[in-house]
Parts: sequence; structure tokens; C-alpha cells
Amino acid sequence: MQNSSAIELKGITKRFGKVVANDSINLEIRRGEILSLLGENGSGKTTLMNMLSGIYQPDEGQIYADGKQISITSPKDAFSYGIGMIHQHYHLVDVFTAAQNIILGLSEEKLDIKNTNEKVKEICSKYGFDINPTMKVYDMSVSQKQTVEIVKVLYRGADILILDEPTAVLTPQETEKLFDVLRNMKKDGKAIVIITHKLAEVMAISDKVAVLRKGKYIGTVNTAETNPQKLTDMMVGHSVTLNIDRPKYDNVKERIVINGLTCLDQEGITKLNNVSFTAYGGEILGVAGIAGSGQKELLECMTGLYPIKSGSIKYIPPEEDKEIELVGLTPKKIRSLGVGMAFVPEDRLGMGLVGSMGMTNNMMLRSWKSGKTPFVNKKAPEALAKKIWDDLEVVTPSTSFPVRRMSGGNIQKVLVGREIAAMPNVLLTAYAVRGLDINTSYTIYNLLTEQKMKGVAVVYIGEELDVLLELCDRILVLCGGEVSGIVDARNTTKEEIGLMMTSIGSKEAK
Amino acid sequence: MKKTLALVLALLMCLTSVFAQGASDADTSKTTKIGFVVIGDENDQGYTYNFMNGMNAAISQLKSEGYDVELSVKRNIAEDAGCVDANLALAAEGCSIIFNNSYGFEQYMQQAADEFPQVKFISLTNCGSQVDGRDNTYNAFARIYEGRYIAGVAAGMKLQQLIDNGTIKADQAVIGYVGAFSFAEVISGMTSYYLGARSVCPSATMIVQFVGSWGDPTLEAEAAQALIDQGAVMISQHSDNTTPATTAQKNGVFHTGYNNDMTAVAPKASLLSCKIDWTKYFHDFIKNELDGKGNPSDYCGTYANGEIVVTELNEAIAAPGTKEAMAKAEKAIADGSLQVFDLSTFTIGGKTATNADMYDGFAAVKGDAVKNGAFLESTLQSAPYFVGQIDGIKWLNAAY
Amino acid sequence: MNTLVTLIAAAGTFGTVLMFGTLGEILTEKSGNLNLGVEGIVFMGGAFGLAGAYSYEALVGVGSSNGLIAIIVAAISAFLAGAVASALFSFLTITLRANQNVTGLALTILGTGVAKFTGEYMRHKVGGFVTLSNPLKEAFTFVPMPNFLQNIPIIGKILFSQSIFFYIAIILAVAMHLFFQKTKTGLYLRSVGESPVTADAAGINMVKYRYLATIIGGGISAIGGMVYVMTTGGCTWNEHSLAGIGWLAVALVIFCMWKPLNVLWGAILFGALKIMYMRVVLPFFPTELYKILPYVVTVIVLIITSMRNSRDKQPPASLGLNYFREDR
Repeated sequence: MQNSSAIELKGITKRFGKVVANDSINLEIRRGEILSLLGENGSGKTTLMNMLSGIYQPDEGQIYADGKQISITSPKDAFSYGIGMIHQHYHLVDVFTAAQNIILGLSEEKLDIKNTNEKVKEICSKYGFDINPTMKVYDMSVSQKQTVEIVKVLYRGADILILDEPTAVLTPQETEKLFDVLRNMKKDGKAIVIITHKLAEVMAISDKVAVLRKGKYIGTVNTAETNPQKLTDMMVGHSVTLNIDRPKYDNVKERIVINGLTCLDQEGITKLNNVSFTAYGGEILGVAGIAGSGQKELLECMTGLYPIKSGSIKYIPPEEDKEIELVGLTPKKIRSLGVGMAFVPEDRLGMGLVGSMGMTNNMMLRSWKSGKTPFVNKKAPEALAKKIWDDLEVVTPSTSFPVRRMSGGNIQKVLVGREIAAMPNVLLTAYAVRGLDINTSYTIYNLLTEQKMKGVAVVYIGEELDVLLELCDRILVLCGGEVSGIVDARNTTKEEIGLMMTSIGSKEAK
Repeated sequence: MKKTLALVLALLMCLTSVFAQGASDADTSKTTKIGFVVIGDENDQGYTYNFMNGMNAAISQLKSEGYDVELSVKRNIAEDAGCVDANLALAAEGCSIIFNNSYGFEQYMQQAADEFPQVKFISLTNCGSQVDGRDNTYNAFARIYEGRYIAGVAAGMKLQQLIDNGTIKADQAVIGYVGAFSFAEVISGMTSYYLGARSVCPSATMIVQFVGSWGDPTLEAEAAQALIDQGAVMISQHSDNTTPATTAQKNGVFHTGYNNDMTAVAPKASLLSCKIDWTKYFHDFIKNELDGKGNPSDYCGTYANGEIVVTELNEAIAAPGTKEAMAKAEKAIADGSLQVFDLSTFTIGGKTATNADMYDGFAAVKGDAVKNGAFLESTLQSAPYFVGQIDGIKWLNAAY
Repeated sequence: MNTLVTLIAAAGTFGTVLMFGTLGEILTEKSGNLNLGVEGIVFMGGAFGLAGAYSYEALVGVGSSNGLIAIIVAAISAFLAGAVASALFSFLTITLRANQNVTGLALTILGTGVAKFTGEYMRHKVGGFVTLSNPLKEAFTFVPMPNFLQNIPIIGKILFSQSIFFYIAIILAVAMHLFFQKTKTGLYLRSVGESPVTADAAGINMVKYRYLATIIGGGISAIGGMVYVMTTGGCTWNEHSLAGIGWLAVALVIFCMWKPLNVLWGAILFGALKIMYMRVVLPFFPTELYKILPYVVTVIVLIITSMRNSRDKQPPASLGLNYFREDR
């Protein structure tokens, strides 16, 4: 019974269009064991587990349960095999009670709330949970909601539990409580998989660690026989030379000074904690960190789009001696001071581009207020659109072709191009080359370097460590909303950064 | 491919409408075209239905007399600028006589009249033609008050019967009137109705509920119910729908209607209805034009001419002697011995009424209608102008 | 006092119509479908309900028509008309994923047109008013309560002197309440409307629930139209009579905050507001203002509930949104 194979994956491959999310992955999940599934953002962890929970089907490969080959075509199927997944974003109906959510979808004959409450209490006391079955979900804390999700899965008799980034939104105390529960379940013979990127937790709770990188399976090790350094190596791999031109700008000047910046999100979770650093004009400052470490919030705080709890953001305009406090100013004012932002979100069209409009009209979105008459003057935006079209080689039939029908890469070119065209003094970019091919990426790198050589302070939030190492002058590493370290890009290594990304270091470089 | 197809279809549609237009122009040489602009359509089974019946009857009558006439109707025209277009379209089609059947059409009709001075325009139920300075505009209406009076007699007979056989007490002979608006047309009709009833049932009183619409079935039903709840045992209406009749029947009380015979809908309650029969007027007007005789600019149909009538009496429920009482009143009106608005038969504020108390300030033609101790309605202009609030009638609300 | 009593009693008549319309729409909206075609559906229910009863009477002859059967025939005809129209709506929005608002409005126009066409067709065939015989008329407005109950002062007039449809509506409201709160199917239906993602993940057949809720809800609303024609409308087809009832029902759904039990008094209130100006005359209060009262009241309720932000009193979270699994 102990440590017998519960699920085995052999040669699992999944493609989305041209992207290979999972490439021939082998994995084994055993009973009575906690397995961590480790990998960077985009390494394919969630996709793989989604196939176990019936949301996707593999394109190639086989799944075995207790040695027999099975196919999982829907969430219901997954349940029948005893697989229960607790997603990152909870599937709960806010206005229902915990008990109502738990029995949702079950084919019992009658609605017997009392019976349900009894069973729920049983499960709770068995594993050490603490929830009130009659409590409404909208009254619950995040940790309690997660508990409901777990109980939901256990109620259906799941033996194999998959938790996707379970501690992402928990406090340290709640994380400990969760771990206690997980240990109890393990003792009870359940198989548990935790998808995570938090090395500290991996070391604390898991028995084995499986690592994915860029869709490929790297290997599985026993936790007792490894350490964070080794795991980081497996996660990020070796350095790759990119040959990006990196000239040095003489006479860098302080442009943005951030001191003790702290902010909370809507649910009260600390997203940035006492962040301090300086961005210089004439420098590309890279920001590295695992997704969700606070990069997005940092950008938004700097552009006035996020509420700040405490701290200051001071802006020193070029050629002037004064300091302007940006905290409390409206986004419009901040823009007018010369702080521009080019943020490329997952859906690309979210931040400031209107999908059904063409390039010209999108250019106009920024400049419309500067017109003197009520009539719209299309000449300047049209010229700008044409310039970007040429310079960046945007692939589009015309400047009036709807932006949303352009390819992702081209949309990004438009976004970045537009921001640069506004000639900011501070250019904040996030994921500017996300999903782009090599050539386009280089175009963007060159653009940014061009700006830097004009004295612009460029902040580059990126995912690819290789790029950061070759493009940026300095790299700021965020980990869990705190500054893990600031290093000189020319003198650091991928491993060093990788380590800082996963646990708080204390390196500071000027 | 799709684009060319769409283009061809669009072209086809344009061409067909051109041809259709052409077709209707083709035979204007000998036929006289009569145009009719109506509000709503025959489905209202009330106002316009009544007009259309009259017009269709007149046209077939003329045809059988050898006149070559043809009717063209524009339905569902609203009281707005679209009415001008409707009139213009009919004139452009070749109509030489164009009727408009709603009060609110007149101002729009007048605009079209200016553009086609050779065409005759008639605005029914309105009163502007005598004072608008044009010679190609006309008005027509009927002496509603005469019909209402006769209907009132039938109602009064029933009320008196109920008193005589002990069903109600004398002071419980309450008439409930569902009125549309507090206009002269309505006030004139309801007052004459009341006077007719009181002439045979001296203890009758009336309460009036104004609905605020010419036709809203729900509100009319509710108004009738409200009146019944406050003691009405006879319901009458100046509104378009059958719901006052059915509500009356539901509550076991009685009813007289308007515009249409409602006995089919409420056989146990409805005695008869009062309506205007436009056949004669339409027929005579058109015939006079075709014969070159011309027409007066304002015309008011009378009961004697059969232009304002009451529908067939529901004898199953009418009081005995009703037919005779009605015939007596009809004769007296026709020979002038009975004046509906005889000042000796009513008071306003406890005193004898004066012209100022009774004459509508909104009427196009102003004047003094009091002659020989009676208010002469429908003589100075065809549209009613009596607005006196006489004792015995209580307004529960007002609506304009 | 008497004015108040008769006002409430009269409000009950019109209120019954609203009850059916609103309860049907609540059922639909609980599943996440916003069916703005209620106006058209009510029209169709009225027209086809009357057509059904009329045809029945024509079939068996005026003398031998049975009141109860006529009521059943009318109800079924109306229900089917509403169900078919709602099925069309469901097909367009659930299967073909059309925008719910646009489709609902189109259904209003279509339903109204079909109903008026039917009415006109009947009028031409009958050659006059389309109405039922007296015995049937009485059957529809029959009060199923014994006399001694009717004669109780005040409550007798208000509660025990209504038509049979009033009592059916009350039973329906209570049944719907129990359905939502106490049954498994009701719970699943609510989850479909609140969080389709969750329901889908739990293996609930979203499509089936939405289809059924919309079709049955539409049928119930249509019965409201039939009730109107048979009670207030005096079993006679009047072209414009049903106008506006559907929209009042939509507003009433919001006013009652999607809870069936609230409909019981909410519908009476709206009914009273509609006819109040005829019985309670406030000086200086123009008639027109009275007529917009129901809508003004709804807006006030909307403002208050959004200010209080109580989670339980919100519309179903997924109302008006189509759900596609691939969008996860």
C-alpha cells in the first residue's frame, strides 16, 4: 500500500498551436508521498496537471493508474479515478455555503444538508482542518476557501491530490497549517503533488522533487539528497550567449529614487515590502523574479495605477535639480512628467490598445487631448503610425487595420513603439519580448538600448535570465515582494540570480 | 461574390419600388383617387375601425352609383412630421381629396395643403379650417351629444327599472364614466349622456374617472373597477377598448359603449353603444366634389341624418319601454322641441349657467352659443366646445 | 379605509399577471440567462392563450364548453407559445452564443409581432371582436373561495376574492422558493447562474440547465399574458393591452432581488402603483408621475441594494454572460 505507484505518465506531449507546452514527459506519482513539481513560469507544470484533471487531453503519450492504462476526458472522469485538483483560482460559488459548494455536482438523490455537514466534520477532524460548513464563501478568508476546495476533493473520495501553487496567497502560519494537513494525508496513504516554485517550501514539505524546464522533463530527485542550489541549476539550466550589443553610457544620472515602497492588494496581501532602489538615466535596470514576485505591482505603483501603503517614489527630471514625489499623483500627471510605461500583459491588448482600432487610431488615443479644436487631427498620429510601421517592420496591411487581428509580436511592437515615440524620460517595460521570435526581440533590445544612450532611464522586467544578463547594466531581483539583491549584470551569473530569485539574499551592487 | 449579389439585390429592390410607384400613377387619368391618412389601423376595432367601415361603405356606394373612385390609405401614421409626408405622398400619388382622421393631424395636414392648393384636405374631429385662411381645408364631425343623449336615455331607463324593482335605492343610481381626457369632446359627450339619463331617472348622479389616454385597456378596466367600487351601477366610456364593458359584466353592473357595438363582448352588461357613422358624410362630400358642387368648410353630422347613431339595443337586458323612450327623444331632438343643453335642466355651481361657464376657451371659433335658454353645441363649429362642469357630475380626477 | 382595501384588491388582479411574468423570468435569470424578450413572450402568451380557449370553444360548441378545460387549454397554449419562443432564444444564445441583450430585444419585437398578427388573423376570421362566451368568461374570473371567506371584512376582499390564477401564482412562488433553497436541482441551477466555471468543473451539465430554465421560465411568463387577457382584458383581444407588462416584470425581478417569495408582495405593490392614481388622488401630483412610479421605485431599490452591497441580494453573478468552456 505504501509508496505504490498511483499514477504514471509516459511520454506525455501537449501542443497549443506551434507551442509545445509539454514535451515527452515521464512522471511517477506514488501513494504516501508528497511530490513537488518544480519549474519556472511557462515550464509546463500546470498544463501537465491539467491533463490529469481532465481539462486537457494529451496529444501523445499514455497515462497509467495502478498499472492500467486509462484516459481522462473530463473532470468527472478524473474524479472517478480518485484524482482531485485544487486550482490556483478557486472554483467556488460565492453566495453558497461551504457545504453547498462541497456537494455541488454530486449525483446524490436528495439534498441532505445535515448529512453533508456530518461528513464534512468527519473529514475535517481526520486531517486537522477547521471549517464551518454553514459559513458563506464570501465571508471566508483565502485560506479558508482553499480548505473548502480541499475538503471538496476529499469528500469525493480523492486519493490523489494535486495542489497548484497552494501557498501563493497564504501567510506563513497558514502555510504551516496546510503542511500539517498534508502530512496527515500522506500518512493516510494519499498521493500528493504540489506545483510550486518556492524552493524553501519544496525542501520543507516534499519527499521528492520533479523538475520541468521549458516543457521538458529534467529529472526527479529525493529531497533529502538535494539542496536549493542544485534545484536552481536544474530549473534554469546553463547560460546561453545572445550577443546583444551593450554600450556603456557615461554620466548616468539619478532619475527615479524609490524608498521603502510597500503596497497591499485588494485582499490585504502584501505585494511589495519595503522596496528601495534607484533607477539611473542612461542605464537599463533589469528586474528579475519569479512571476508574481511583485514586478507588475512595482510598475503600476510607479505609474500611479496601484494604491501605495507607504514609501516614496521620487522623480528627478533631467536638467533640473528638484525632486518630484510621484506617490499620490494621477497617472496622467505622471505621464506628462515624462514617465512612460509599456506593459505587455498576457492578453496583450489589455493595457492601452483598442483591438478594433488600427495603428493610427491607437496612436491617437494618447494624443487626443492635445488637439485645439473639437475635431480630431489625424495627421500627427498617422505619421507616427507610419514611422513605427517602417522602423519596427510591423506586419500589417495598413495603419487602419484592426490591431487585434495582428499577430502577438506585432501588437507588442506597436505598444513599445508607441511608448518610445512619446519620448519619455523614464521608460518602464514589462515582458516586452514575451512570445516574440528572435529577430523581433533583437529589434526591441536595440530600441531600448537606443533609448538608454539618449539618457533615458529604462527599466526592463523580463523572464529570460539570459537576456537580462546581456541587455541590462544592473539587475534588481525581487523575491516575494522584497528586494533580494541588486547586482552588476556584467559581473554576475545565472546561478547567482536564480538563487536570489528563490530566496532572499543580501547582495547589493551600485 | 457576396458583394455583387448584395448590390444586385439592392438594385432590384430600388427598381421594383420605382415600378410600383409608376403603376399607381398609370391610371390617374379618369379615376378619382381618394386618400385617407389614419392613426393606427382597423385592428383597434374602435376609432379607426369605425372610420374605415364608413369610408369603405361610402366608396362602394359611390361605385355602385357609377362614380369611378379609388381609395388609397396610409395607416399607422403618428401625430408628428411623418403625417406631413403621408399627406404629401397621397397628393403626389394623384389623390384629389385627402381625409385625415385624427385631431392631432391637422397642423401637419395644413402644411401639405399649402403645397397642393388644388387638392382638398379634410381634418376630421378638428376645427381649424374656418379660421386658417385656406380655401382647400375642411373639417367635419358629428353631433356626438345627440347620440350620447339618446344612449343616456337607455341607460336612465335601466337605472329607473333597477330602482323600481328594488335592486337599488334611488340615491344609488350612480353612473360611472370612463373618460379619456378632460377635453371638450369628452365633457360634452358625458354631460349630454348624463342629461339624457337624468331625463328619465331623476335621481341619477355621475362620477367620472379620466384615464389619460384614448385607449389603454388596462387603465380603462381599472378605471371602470374603481368607479364600480365607488358605487357605479352603469358604466359608460369615451375610450377605445372593450375592457370597461367586460369589467362591468364581471361585476354584474351595466354598460353603454363607444365607437363599436360591445354587446358581443359583454352580452349581460352592454345595452348599446354610441358611434359616428361616417358613410353618409364621406359619400356626400366626394359626390359633391365630383359633381362640381363644392362643400362647406365645416360640417357636423346629425342624429337625424343617421350620422351619429346608437347601435342596436340589447333587448335581452334593456328595461321595458326603452325603445319607446329613445324614439320619443329622437323625435323631439329632430323637430327642435328638445334641446339637450337646455339651461333649465341643469345648474353649474348651484346657479344657472352662463356662456363663459360653458364655452371652451381652446375652440378655434369663439362665440356665444347660448340662444333661447339653451347652449347650442356643434353649431359654431363641428368640433364640440361644451366644457361646463354641471352639478350632479363629480370629477374624481382630471387628465390632459 | 375602503379605498385602501379596494385598491389592494384591484392591485391583486393586475398583480397576478405580474407574478407569473416575474416568476418565469426569475427562473430564467437564476440560470444566468437574461431574457429581455419577456415583453414579446407575454404578448404571445396572451394571444395564443386566447386563441387556444377560443378554438376549444369553437370546436365543442358554445353550449358544451367546460370552464375548467378551457382554462387548462388556455394555459397550455400560452405555456407552449412562451416555451417555443424561449427555446429559440436559448438556441441563439446558448448554442450559437449570440449576445443575450440583443437577442432578447429581438425576441420582444418578434413576439409582439407574432402575437398581434395572430390577433388580427383571428379578428378577420371571426369578423369582429375575438372573445369567449359568457360562461367561459365567468369561469376565468371565477373565485374559488367559499362565500364565508369572501365575506370576512377587509381580508376577505383582499385575499379571498381573487381569481383562481392568483392562488396558483402564490403556490408557484412558494414552490419556486422551495425549489431553489431546498432541492439539489435548484442548488445546481443557482450554481450555473452564479459561477458557470465552478458548475462546469463540478460536472454539472450547464447547457441542459440553462435551456430548461429558460424554456420553462418563458412558458410561465407567457401564462401571465394569458391571465391578463382573461381577467383584466375580459377574455377579449385588445391589441395594445399587453404592452408594457413584460418590461414591468423585468423591473420587478430586480425589485424582488431574484427571490420568489418577494414577488408575492412586490407584484401587488407594482399593481397598486399602476392604478393608484385612479383611487388615491394627491393634489398637485400629475397623472404622468403616477405612471412612472413602478420604475422609479425599482431604480431606488437598485441604488439602495448596490450601496449596501450585501452579497446575498445581488443578481446571479453570471447573469447575461454566455459561458464557453474554452475560455477558461
